[in-house]
Amino acid sequence: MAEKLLDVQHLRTHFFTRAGVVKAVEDVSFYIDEGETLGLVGESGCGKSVTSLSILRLLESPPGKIVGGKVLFQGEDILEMNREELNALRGGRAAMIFQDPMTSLNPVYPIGYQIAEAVKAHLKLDDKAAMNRAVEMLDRVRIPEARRRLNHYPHEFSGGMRQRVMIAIALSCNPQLLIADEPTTALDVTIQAQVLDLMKGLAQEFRTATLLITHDLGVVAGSCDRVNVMYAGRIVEAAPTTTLFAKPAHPYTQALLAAVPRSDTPKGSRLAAIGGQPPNLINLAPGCPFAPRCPKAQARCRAELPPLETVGPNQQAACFYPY
Amino acid sequence: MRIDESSEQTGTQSFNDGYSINPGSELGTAGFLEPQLAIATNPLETTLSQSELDLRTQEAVTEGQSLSPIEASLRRLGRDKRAMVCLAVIIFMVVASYVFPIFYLHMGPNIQGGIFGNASVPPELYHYMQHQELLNLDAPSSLAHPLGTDQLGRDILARLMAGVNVSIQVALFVEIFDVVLGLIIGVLAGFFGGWIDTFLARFTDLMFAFPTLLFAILAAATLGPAFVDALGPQGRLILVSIAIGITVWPQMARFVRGQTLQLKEQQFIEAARMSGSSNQRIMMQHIVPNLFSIVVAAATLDIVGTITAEAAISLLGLGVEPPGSSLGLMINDAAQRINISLWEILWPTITLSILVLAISFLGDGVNDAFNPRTKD
Amino acid sequence: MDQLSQNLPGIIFLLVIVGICAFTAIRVGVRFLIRRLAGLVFVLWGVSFITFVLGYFAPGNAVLVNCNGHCPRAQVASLMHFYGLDQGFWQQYWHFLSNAVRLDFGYSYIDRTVRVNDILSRYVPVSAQLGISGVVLAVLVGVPLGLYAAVKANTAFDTVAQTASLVLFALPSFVLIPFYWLIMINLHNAGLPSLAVTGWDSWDAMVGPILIFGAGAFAFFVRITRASMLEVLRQDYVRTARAKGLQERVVIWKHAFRNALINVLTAVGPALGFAVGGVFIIELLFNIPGIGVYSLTAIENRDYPVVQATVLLIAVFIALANLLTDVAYGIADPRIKTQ
Ligand SMILES: Nc1ncnc2c1ncn2[C@@H]1O[C@H](COP(=O)(O)OP(=O)(O)OP(=O)(O)O)[C@@H](O)[C@H]1O
Ligand SMILES: [Mg+2]
Repeated sequence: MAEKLLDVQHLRTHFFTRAGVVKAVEDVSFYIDEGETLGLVGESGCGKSVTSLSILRLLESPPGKIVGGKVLFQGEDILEMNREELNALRGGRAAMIFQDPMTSLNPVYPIGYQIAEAVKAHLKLDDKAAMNRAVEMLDRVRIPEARRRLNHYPHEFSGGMRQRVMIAIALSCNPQLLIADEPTTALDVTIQAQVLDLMKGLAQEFRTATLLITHDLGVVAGSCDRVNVMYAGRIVEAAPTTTLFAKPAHPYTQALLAAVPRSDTPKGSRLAAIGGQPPNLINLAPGCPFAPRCPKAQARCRAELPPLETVGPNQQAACFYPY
Repeated sequence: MRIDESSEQTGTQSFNDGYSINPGSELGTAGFLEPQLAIATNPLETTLSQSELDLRTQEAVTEGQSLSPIEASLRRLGRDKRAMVCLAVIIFMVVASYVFPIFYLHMGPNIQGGIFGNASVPPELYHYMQHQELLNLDAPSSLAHPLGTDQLGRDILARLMAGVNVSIQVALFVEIFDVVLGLIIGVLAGFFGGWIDTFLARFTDLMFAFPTLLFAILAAATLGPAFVDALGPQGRLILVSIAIGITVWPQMARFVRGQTLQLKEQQFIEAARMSGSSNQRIMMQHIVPNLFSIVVAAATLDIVGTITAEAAISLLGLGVEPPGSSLGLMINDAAQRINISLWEILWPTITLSILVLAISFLGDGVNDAFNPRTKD
Repeated sequence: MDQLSQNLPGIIFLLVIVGICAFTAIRVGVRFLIRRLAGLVFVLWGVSFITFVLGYFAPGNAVLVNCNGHCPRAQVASLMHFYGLDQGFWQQYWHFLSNAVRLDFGYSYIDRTVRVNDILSRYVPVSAQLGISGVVLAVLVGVPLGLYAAVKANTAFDTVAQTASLVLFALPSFVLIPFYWLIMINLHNAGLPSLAVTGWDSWDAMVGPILIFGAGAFAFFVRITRASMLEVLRQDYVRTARAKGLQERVVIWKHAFRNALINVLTAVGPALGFAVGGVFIIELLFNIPGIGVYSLTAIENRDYPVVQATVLLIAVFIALANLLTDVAYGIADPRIKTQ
């Protein structure tokens, strides 16, 4: 098959705060092949956003700092790039969509300008051509009357529409990689599926590989080729989607799957959540970070950190006692 | 949850600079508070702010036992070296200006002086801040007059201490006025809204056109003589203090109102309401105690404005009248004689600068300690 | 023709106001404009009412001022009548208000042949020169410095800028004056080039007062620009701009600064109010023949019309500045338009 498009190796990202060093991402490795969709799931606060921001070096620094690892994009280490190389990559070959469409667009510029700006930066088009491209993209993300809405400001759009605009910006320069950090979490449930389908369809059309971050396993099931599960700053399980759903290896993945809402659960009722709290990322105890919440934990789990090891065909898990 | 967060942010942001961004203008928060739909459909879902919150609790926990927010803030303040030094300076100046004059009257040698220069004058006399040693004008520092004498032969150190006393008295008076009125009107306006809220908004608008100094000048110019007739030499100062108070309280009330509005939406207030607490009880038990930090921080900053306003008014000759003393008055007196004795003006200037800077830096520290999210 | 030239400033002023209103109505909306204007009218009315009431209840009237209390009865009556002081409260108020609307403040109590307006037109330009150049300078230097400090947050430059601006902001302007004098006199005594320490008749006399007047506002703008910039730089849309691969320069100026500017704009009005008090003291200490010093003399002489006119003028100026700020804000921030 084709070579790895993105290859993240032993990435470590820490936050240096007054309270101590927050090890938000510890030794995370994964890859994405060209054109495929990789899901990254995990509880809130486990480091998904920090991982994705680290890839494009978009972390606020200080307090955030990438302290180790490599992020190879088509063989080039992003962490070693200089300013120009990085700017050419961002928005050009690799684009990103964020969680909150309400705050991700600049309130003082019309959306047409905000799309055209990205186009001009990467495709070297003139103003007029860039605007035409903006109209085309707005059409593609199915915003009605695209040409007229070019001059509208973000606050004149609903959340779902704004996220479509974000998708338009992200895909406007034909990126090879799209990083989507919980693109639908902030949206109304009824809109979520629409936006997701749109994104999926366009990604296929543009032959763009996608890193889809979510904490909704339903989304993963519908969209991803492979899934990585994250817990407390580490990858705890990696497997093709079908395998993961059929045969989850890590107790944490199992717990996640057990907690997925089913269609017969009444809306708004409390679901079988995972008991206990995610650990404090400042003072991580030795051993498996999931051990305190794990029903199968043994003495060894509390003493030693389980490495990510192959446990089945194409399946890896960081657990001494998988399945 | 998110909505509260963002409104708090706009609140503290304007607060930090000691300025409200156009009080009374409905523009201030426009557009920032759009509803955000975050429907929990999933067990993994909590907002990032939750983890931020956890982080803060962690901080408190790592410090030992769990602390109340106010104790935690005070502890943070205690660790702020600059603020602590400033606090020490302020306390020293306040205490010294009241206590030291008592001893000062008995310190120093008898000097040769009086109207004809042949009498023996004891420190009880010449260290009294109104005593004029007419043959010893604009004297440089000496054993008898550590900081020298002014253009009327008065001891500068004695007058400085009296001046600091005036600053402090005015500051205290205005602050009490400010906090009491600001708290009452602010809480009522935030809690009930309605006409009292409208009144606050309109009054703030109005006072916005009257900067403190301008209003105090107007008041002193028109009503000054009447106050002096009615209340004696202190009348002017009282009038000026009231005028300053009238211009500062709306600011305080607006901060309090904003905070009250936020508190009102919080769950524990809702819970108290459900369990049948009266409005009065909710305000006294749940709202007012939670206003502590915002009031303390705003008051500290207001003191700076008050002290400078008093000095400015006295400098303009509309506040403290001779033979009384005030830092502003001393600056103005000395300003007439910069060609003869420039150093005379430096003493009150330096004293006022130290006082004002110490309070500002303390206020800055208080603000950081009590509103930690601003400093991350 | 003569009358036209006399009223020219007023006419230009009115035209500018009308122009701004029309522009606002088109850009932001008529309702927004009406609400702002209603607010302005209320503030102007309130300010004039307070000014009048304080003057009305002030002890000592024109008559006493005019002849040291030794006037014959008939003359007292005629003076009282001349200044309208023989009328009742409401009549006097109506008189005051209707004249104030026409920008007519009557005659000085000191000299019934001197119109207050003549006094104003003689002394206000000097003060305006001082005030406007000070504030303009403060904005022109303070905003870029605050911006730079925010971009370089937590560096040595930032720390210095922040501490310096905190000091300058906290210290009243008149505290700076003695230090300025100290420096200039020492320079002078040492035979080095120095600037004048009083007066307003040459450029070298103007430098000190303008710098000192602007210092507080300068510090204020540094602080508010820095704070808003830091706030904006943390926003998601700045991250979006970076994620698009825009150059840092574009991110800072086009995306961050444009938003921070909205905040800074709202602070211009308050900053003016904050700075205006300094005029009185700086004029007094530097011996500048402006309206501040003149009104201090007027206060001493109980020449209330002059005091009232001065206060009213300043308050109206601040209220207008606030209106302009709001309007500018409405224009700068597209979110206001479709409210
Ligand atoms: N600026 C910061 N300062 C300190 N800690 C931070 C900061 N940003 C993130 N963290 C920490 O890093 C950890 C990972 O955060 P991250 O945002 O990646 O979580 P996430 O998996 O994306 O969660 P969510 O589902 O809520 O988006 C969290 O524990 C958080 O406390
Ligand atoms: Mg996230």
